[in-house]
Amino acid sequence: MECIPRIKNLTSFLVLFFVISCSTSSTREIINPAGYKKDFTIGKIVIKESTGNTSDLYIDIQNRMLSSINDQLSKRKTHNKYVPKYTLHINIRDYEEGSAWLRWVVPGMGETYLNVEAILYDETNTPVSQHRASRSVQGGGGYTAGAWKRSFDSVAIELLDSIYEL
Amino acid sequence: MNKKNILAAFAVTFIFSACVSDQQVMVAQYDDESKNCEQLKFELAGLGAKFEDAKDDSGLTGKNVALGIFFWPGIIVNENQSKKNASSVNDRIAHLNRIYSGKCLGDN
Repeated sequence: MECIPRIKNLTSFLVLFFVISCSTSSTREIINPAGYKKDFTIGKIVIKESTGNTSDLYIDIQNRMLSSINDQLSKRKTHNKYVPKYTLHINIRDYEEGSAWLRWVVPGMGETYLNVEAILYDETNTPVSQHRASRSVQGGGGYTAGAWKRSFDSVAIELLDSIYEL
Repeated sequence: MNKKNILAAFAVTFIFSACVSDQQVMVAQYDDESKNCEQLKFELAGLGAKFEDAKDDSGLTGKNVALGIFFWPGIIVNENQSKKNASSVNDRIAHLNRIYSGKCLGDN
């Protein structure tokens, strides 16, 4: 019975650590409010990678980002041939694959991190808004395995929420 | 509410307020290439100060010392975040310096 308060304390400690250590964030700046209409669709996505460390990776991060954005766009059903088609330029700034095992062994190590910047252009190629979105997983155990993959989905959701003003 | 709960609520509020916030900047912005030399100079000066601020969140800070007492893993999270903040400002400085060198130094 004596160990119950200890388990409660340990649980609170772990919950607090996981709440602090996993975060998704985004920022947005509207450049051209007139062009920022409610009804538009993203017709073209251009993805650039400037992390400078792709040689160590097993995956093509540009393709992974593209498929996450396309998945989220199809879920949102924004495709409509009667609304303007905008272009989204995404620049992958930072990507760290991380390791769930390392995160479990040493808190703070093996971080999974994805940071992207995006600029939305209207049909006339005028910038409409610029955005930044990132996802970081710094702590956790086995349940964070695959965070490297989910981080692309989280960032895609955050980015599109930011673009569509949700 | 007993004293224990008040203390716990205080500690949790304190821990969250002691976290370094995400203050990363966008490295490449839409109008960077169209900025003139004065605008670039002005922004670079502002970024220098911002870099110092970001660096000040790292190391032996009040926030980290307090987190060390209440919740030590928070120090790791804080250090990582302040490193990212400083790194993004540094990358933006390098990006603007490249534009400044190409645009403004050739004229002198």
